[in-house]
Amino acid sequence: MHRYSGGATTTWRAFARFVMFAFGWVVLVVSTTGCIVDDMPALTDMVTTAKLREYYGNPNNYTGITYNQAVGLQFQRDVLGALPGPRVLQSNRKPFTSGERERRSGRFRSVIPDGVTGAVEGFHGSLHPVISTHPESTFVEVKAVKGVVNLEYAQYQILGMLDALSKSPAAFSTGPDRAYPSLYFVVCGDTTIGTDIGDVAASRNILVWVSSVVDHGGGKLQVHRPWCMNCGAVLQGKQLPAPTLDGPSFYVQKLRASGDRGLDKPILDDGLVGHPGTPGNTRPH
Amino acid sequence: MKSDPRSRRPTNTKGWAVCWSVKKSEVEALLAEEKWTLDPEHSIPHHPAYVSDRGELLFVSASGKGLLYASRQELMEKSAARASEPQPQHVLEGNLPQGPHFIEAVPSLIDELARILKVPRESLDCSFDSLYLVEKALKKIRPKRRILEIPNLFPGLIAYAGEVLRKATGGEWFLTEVGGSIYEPYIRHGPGGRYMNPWLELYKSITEPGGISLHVIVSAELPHPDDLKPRVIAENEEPNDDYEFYMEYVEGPKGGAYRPAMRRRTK
Repeated sequence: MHRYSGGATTTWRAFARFVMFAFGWVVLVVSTTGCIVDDMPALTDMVTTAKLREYYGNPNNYTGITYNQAVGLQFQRDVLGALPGPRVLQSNRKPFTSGERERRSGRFRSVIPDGVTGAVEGFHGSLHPVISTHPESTFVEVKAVKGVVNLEYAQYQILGMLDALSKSPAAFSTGPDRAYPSLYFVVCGDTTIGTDIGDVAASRNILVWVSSVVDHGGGKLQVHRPWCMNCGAVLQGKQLPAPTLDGPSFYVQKLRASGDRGLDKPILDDGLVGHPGTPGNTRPH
Repeated sequence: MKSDPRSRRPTNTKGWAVCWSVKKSEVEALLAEEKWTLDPEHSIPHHPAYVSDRGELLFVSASGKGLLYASRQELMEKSAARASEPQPQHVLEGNLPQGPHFIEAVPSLIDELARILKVPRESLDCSFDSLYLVEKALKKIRPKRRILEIPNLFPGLIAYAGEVLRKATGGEWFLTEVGGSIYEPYIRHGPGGRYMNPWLELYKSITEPGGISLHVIVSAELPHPDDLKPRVIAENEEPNDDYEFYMEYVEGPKGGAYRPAMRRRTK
């Protein structure tokens, strides 16, 4: 009995030695090649909400939802200036009425997409190159959200956008080269888009595009070329859009601290609260 | 049913059809207790709507929560009336009556803001910390959409947020005329004409779900020291074609979804 037990111990020791030897080789291979799985990217990855927080910092010590809003707002501003395509998209200033959102939420009667642009006949990409034939037919929505964005997200905000797009000029385009309305999401690596968005959009002939944001390290980000979520369903029998280019890369900056402007101390000519500056100055933008 | 949602205070806004937010368990109880038929006109994939024998309408979301309308007929009438209303073309349309005279009105608007919010006028000293005080006072206004309905409250908030920006940067007020006699107020700072917008995100935070973080909105508008230099935006010199991004389908506890993913490009 004792001899049998000793033999088992020896076998276990030999097995443990083999495991340690094999593990050592794995560590050596991984450390020299940089990866263990062929599909694992080595240098770039998608930016996550956690990484965005790291890049933007938190100089004002915001917490919870307030901090999420601060990061989301800054991310939105950075991304809208660096979308794929030749143009910089300005923030949208127009509310789009959505009866469907109001019926489903009972409270919110319109949507205000982050960016709005047009659509072009015969062009089935996400952002049209120069001149559009159908204005206000593409909505851009930037989401730095950890989790699922689906139709009912934010009191049916996305459903409201699809509803508004289904009444956009491009929605009434006809013919073989008709223009299509588009909803274009720019998201983080940990944001998922619910399938219900693609399904409902396809039923209304609206294209849904998704771009992830690539993290090149050191605060350098880039909006990747858009991927069409439902082109197969909407453009049945038609040629699918050719891939577009990535957006320009850009560097994010730390959030502004409320205590330190980082600017020279302002010299106000009045010292009074509420001095109107230059009255009546209406020079154009 | 343990708690009847109809016995609670309705959740609809003023002037809209009477409705109640309903929890998932209450949706299940409602559907079990009464006879409901599918309403194809109001149903969308994954989000069905049901009509009861007594004319109620129940919207059910993919997550199982719902919205119960007291009367489908009333909802249809309100929807039709709303559709015939003129649609705003700009977030400031009807919300900034001062128009071209807004800049001159800034001091009096801030005085009025203090009066409306019932905060001491001297506490509105255009400091960042004073924005917390304004936020706190705004929380008392419910529903928050009333902020747009109280005369001169929204213009007062724009004026005050703008003054905080102006004081912080040494910038100046600036009006831009857009179509339909709407004037957009900005604070302009720096030789490059950096514009700070004190109204757009403020309006969005009032009309969308979530709280109003005036402090966040104002600090996001402030120019970063690096904004005064040319911003580094470079085209890709060497795009990495070895990898491609795509959206992969994943099954979650609440249904399917697509998430961004990365893979080696197949040659």
